[in-house]
Parts: sequence; C-alpha cells; structure tokens
Amino acid sequence: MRAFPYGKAAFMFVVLAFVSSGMLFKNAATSRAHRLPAGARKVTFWVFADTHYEAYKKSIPAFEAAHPGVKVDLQLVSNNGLAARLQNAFLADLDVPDMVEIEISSSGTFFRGPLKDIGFADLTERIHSTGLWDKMVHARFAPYTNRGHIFGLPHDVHPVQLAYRRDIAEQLGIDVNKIETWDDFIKVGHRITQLNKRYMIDLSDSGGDNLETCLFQRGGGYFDPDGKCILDNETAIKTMCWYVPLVAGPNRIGNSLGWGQVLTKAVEDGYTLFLFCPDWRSRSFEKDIPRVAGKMALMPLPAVQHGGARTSTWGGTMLGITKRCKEPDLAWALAMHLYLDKPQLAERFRQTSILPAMSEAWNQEAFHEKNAYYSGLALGDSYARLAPDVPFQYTSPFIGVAKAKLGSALVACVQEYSAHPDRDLEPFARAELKRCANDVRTLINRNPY
Amino acid sequence: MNRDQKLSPGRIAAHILLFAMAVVVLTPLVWLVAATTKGKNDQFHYTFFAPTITAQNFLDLFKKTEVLQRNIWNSTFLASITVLVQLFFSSLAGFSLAKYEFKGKKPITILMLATLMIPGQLTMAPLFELLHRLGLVDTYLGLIIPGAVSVFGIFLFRQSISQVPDELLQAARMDGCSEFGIYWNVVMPVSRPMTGAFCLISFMGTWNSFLWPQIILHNRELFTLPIALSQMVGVYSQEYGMLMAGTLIAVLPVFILFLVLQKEFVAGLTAGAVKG
Repeated sequence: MRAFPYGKAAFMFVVLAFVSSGMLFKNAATSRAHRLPAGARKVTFWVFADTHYEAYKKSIPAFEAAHPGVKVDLQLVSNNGLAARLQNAFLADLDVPDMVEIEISSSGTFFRGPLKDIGFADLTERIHSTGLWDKMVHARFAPYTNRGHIFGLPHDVHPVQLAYRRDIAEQLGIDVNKIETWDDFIKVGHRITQLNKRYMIDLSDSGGDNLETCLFQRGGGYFDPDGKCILDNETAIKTMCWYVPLVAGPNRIGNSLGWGQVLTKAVEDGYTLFLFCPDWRSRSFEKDIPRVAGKMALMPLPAVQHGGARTSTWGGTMLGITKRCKEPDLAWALAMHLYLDKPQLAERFRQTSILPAMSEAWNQEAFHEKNAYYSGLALGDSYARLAPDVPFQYTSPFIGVAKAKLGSALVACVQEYSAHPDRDLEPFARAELKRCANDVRTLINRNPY
Repeated sequence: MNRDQKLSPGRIAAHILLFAMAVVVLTPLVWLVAATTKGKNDQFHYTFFAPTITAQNFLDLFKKTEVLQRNIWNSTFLASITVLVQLFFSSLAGFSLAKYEFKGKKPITILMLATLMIPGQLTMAPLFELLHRLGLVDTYLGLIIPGAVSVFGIFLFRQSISQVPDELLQAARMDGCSEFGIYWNVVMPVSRPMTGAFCLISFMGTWNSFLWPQIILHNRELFTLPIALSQMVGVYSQEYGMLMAGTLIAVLPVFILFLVLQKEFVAGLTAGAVKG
C-alpha cells in the first residue's frame, strides 16, 4: 500500500476495476456469440415495451429462418429516452434504426416540418396496396396519419371499459346492465357515494388522462384531422363542465387515486368501485391488485346518450419504418410477420391482454378464453365487441403541449368549482380552455410549416 | 460524563429533532427494503413489511433479466475505471495549477472554472456527434473518455495541493526526484484524505449517471445498472417487486463504500476547515 500513492480508497477501486474487467472478459465470449456475422443483412428494431420485446424475441427466429442471411437486431429502449434519442438521431442523421415502435403520446412530435423531412417512411401506398387498410381498425391509423400520409402501423386498439368491484356493486344493488348512459351512471353514483368513505369512480382531478378519454368519447380531442387545435371547441367546453362536478364540489362521485399502493388499497377496501380500464390496464389490475381476483368484472363505458358508443380509447403504439432504412421491403416483411401473424397475436394477447389492431385475429381461441380475475368474463371478446366503436383521435407535433394545457385547464376549473360550486362553471371553463388553446396555437403559428 | 455530554434541554430537543429528521430520511429506504421482501400478492396490500417474507423478487430479477448480472459488472467496471482515470488526470492537472508558474495559467484556470457553469445538456449533442464520428457510440470508451477529466476534481486537488509546503517539493528536487516523481512520491501521499473524498464523489457520480449512458449505450449487454433498471419501468405494466430489488442492489454499493471510506471522506471534506 505504501508504494501506491493514492491511498486505501483508490486502491479499492483498482481492485474493483481488475475484478470487474475479469468478469466482463469472462462474459465476452457470450457477447461475441450474439454479434452479427460479417456480411449479414441487418434490420435494427427499437421497442420500448418489455412485453413487446419479450414477445418479438420469441417470434424473430422464425422470421430469420424464413429469410436466410438476415439478422434482426432487436433493442429494448426505455420509453423515456426513446423519443429524445430518436428525435436527435433524425435531426443529426445519426444512429437511426430501421424500424421503431413509438408510444402514441410522442408519435405526433415526429411529424414536424415539411413532409420530406419527416424521419419515417410514408406507408400509405403499402397499406392500401397490400389490403392492410381493410384488415385493421381504421380509427387506429388516425393518430399516425399526418397531412394525409400514414407513417405508422397501429399495434393495438385500446378500447376502454369500466372495471369494477362486482361483489360490492351487487351488495349495493347496482345492476350494471341497467346503466346505459353516463346519466344513469351518475345517478347511481350519487346514491352510493359517501364523501371520504366510498366513491363511485376513480377520476383524476389534476391530470388529463381520464378527461381525455371522456373527450374522445364525445368526439372531441386535441386536434382536428388538419392538425388545428380544438381544445376550446364546444365539445371540449361541455365535456369540461360535465367532468369537473364529478371530481370536485359537494356532489362529486369521483376521487383521484393515482397509481400504485393508494390505488390498490382503495380497490381492495372498496373505497372506489369503478375504474377506467383500457385493455392494457386490465392486466395491470390483475398484477397489482391480485387480492380481488374473482371479485372484479368489466362493463362497457356508459354512453354519452342512448345508442351512443360504449367505449373510448386510452394509449397506443405505432410501428414506423424510418427513411434511413436500407431495406424497407425487408423491414415491411418483418412488420407483417410481427403484426399480422394470428397465432403470434393470440399468444401476445395472453401475455398482455392487449387487443391487436388486426380485427381478423380476434377469432383466435385466446380472445374467447374466460378470465377468472374478471369473474369468468371472456376478456378478449368483451374488448373486441367495442373495438369498432373506438373513436378517432388526431395528433400533431404539439401534442405534448396540448396535453399539458388540458391538464392545467382541468386544475384551474377544479379549483374554481371547488371554491364556487354554485356558480356557473361554463364561462370560466370557456375562458380557460380558450387561453390554453391559444397558447398551443401560438406555438403552432411559430412553426413555418 | 463531561460537561459537553450532559443532557441539557437544548441537547434533548436537538436529539429529538435529529431523530425526527432521521425518520423522515430513512422511511423511504425502509419502504424500499420492505418492498423487496414482499410477494406479488402483498406488494401493495401492506404499507411496509408483510407477514411473509420472500426472496422471490431477487430471484426473478436475475432470472427474468438475463443480462442484469452483466449490467452490474458494467457499472462496477465503468465507475471504478472512471474514478481512477479522473483521479490521475485531475490530480495531475491540480498539481500543475497549484505548484507551477507558467504562461496563461490564470486564463486557463478561469476558463476551466467557467466550464462548470455550462450545463452538461448543452454539450450533449455536439459530443454525441463527435463520438459517433470517432466510432465510440455504444462502447465503454464513449463513457470513459468524455469523463476522463473532472474540472471539479482539478479544482479540488488544486486547492488541496496548494497547501502542501513548497519546501517539501524543493527537498525532493534536491534529492534528484523528477517532477512526476514529486507528484507520485511526495504530493499524492500527503493528499490522501482529499483523494478518498474525491474517489467517493466521483464513484457516486458515475455509478448513478443516467442520461449520458442512456444516450451512448444501445446494446443491452453494455447497459449500466441505472439504464437496465429504467428498462423495467414499463409503459403498460410494472414489476414493482423486481424494480425495488434492483434499486436496492443499485443503492447498496454506494452505501457500503461510504461505510468503508467514511473516515477518509470526512477527513477530505474537513481538511483545511480548521485553521491551526
């Protein structure tokens, strides 16, 4: 130790460096085995969802076997980093993958600028010429379409239902079959809600997720098909004025639970009875609240009016092929292999409960299987029945700002209504939404394209 | 019991306050440990520890995330190498700035300190392009080279070494010691407390580093532990137990190192704090 001038601390790091290099060297053989053989045709594919990653990993060997000399370099990239990394890669023209899956809330940000500068290949022609357009739920192409061009294949549909505590609902004499509209639902809600003891539904009073779902169900949204901000149109104002009294004021029936431990406890204790439940969330409930297995059930979302759509949508993923892809035909073949292979889609549904966008796959056995957690309901069928009614939603490069603005408008309206429940909320909501929409428009107008 | 240790009301109040603050600080850590010991059914049912304790989360962590072990070694390797490289270059630079007079010394020092005011995020894009052109993206070197010199470390060593008496250096020179020999045999041995503190600070910085490794590393096998853990945060679902187990594993080395090196760390930070 005397000969080492940096002392005990630094010496420890020398030892650590030696040990760790030894371990990495030992593992190097394994890594080399995974490297691509020289001269191989490679398709680099980024995904952000580990469930997709695991499913694709199983299915890619079959694709590689059918395409000798082709190697798929599947990479799992954290969703938080993916959008930034891809955006940078497009701008700097560096390290761009051949294919990539993007979450719906960030997909719009990639459609900025002139069409020729969008980093994704235009798939419109391929989608129509291969008949794919007719095989998939049309509404799901909308978020990935910009100026009439489709840049992404939809991975899913994400219809929304309500998950609820069946046992408690029955005890309280709630017949969900008689709940057809939101008016019916609210009426029951007023009957069974006891402030700070029991609430009818989990609704956020600070984030826009649930409000957005309700907005979509009413035919509203953030943008119209031309990318114009519609946050302050009559639908948005009416939805806001309808939603806020559900989560604020003396007659509220909703309570905001968030995620994780609080949500689990609230559902287990019967503190909250109904929850918004897109297909992907049905699996989250199974994993995070296992103690209520067999006591939960699903019902279609109440309609806005009699005969209206009994669903909405929440979340989504697109698959895009980048313009930098050297072999777009090969990438397309891989996309078809992953998104259209029925047995594979069925298996993925078993793992994730996510309904694929290709409607022809829904007749697979997996979609008819009864789910014990949801009191023996055929989970796939229940979502598939609603899928054709999933509303259209449109996006824009400014979707992130628009989402944040809707959230801030909701917070302002909740504060206003909590302070003055007797006042008419409409003028305030109108002004607040207009202010938010104008902020978004200001940003849009700064963009010369 | 001497006068300082007597239980005065002020002292009792201070202890109660410190205890309360310790509870506030430690509660999330206890929650973290508790979460790693709970089974899937108990994860959110019990706030802290469940009646049944399980190691399943750790087993799942290593079984389901097949390269996690490698990720841990990656982090260990990168952090220890970075510490050593930074220590060598930063102390050398600190030595030259503290003990040599040369043209441009002052502007260099000011320029160096000025770089501390530039947020790292600003330099990321050009640095990424540079590394891409050098073919260092997705390599260990892409992380080690940009972090080889720490301006903070140079400044720390400059301050520490400037307190080493010049007479010691002169004596070494008269005995025929080379300039590097002076650095190696005279200056660094008397700066050991600062070296210990710097090593720990540098290790923590590299071990916990997230953004830059996230940008540079693409291959799962090269991921550091924080990146590997962030991959577990799913969009549609999360394995909370596994995530907590991974987080605990990520926290432990820093905790252990601090326990082992706390004497040197405190000595380094307080060196020169008391005027003799």
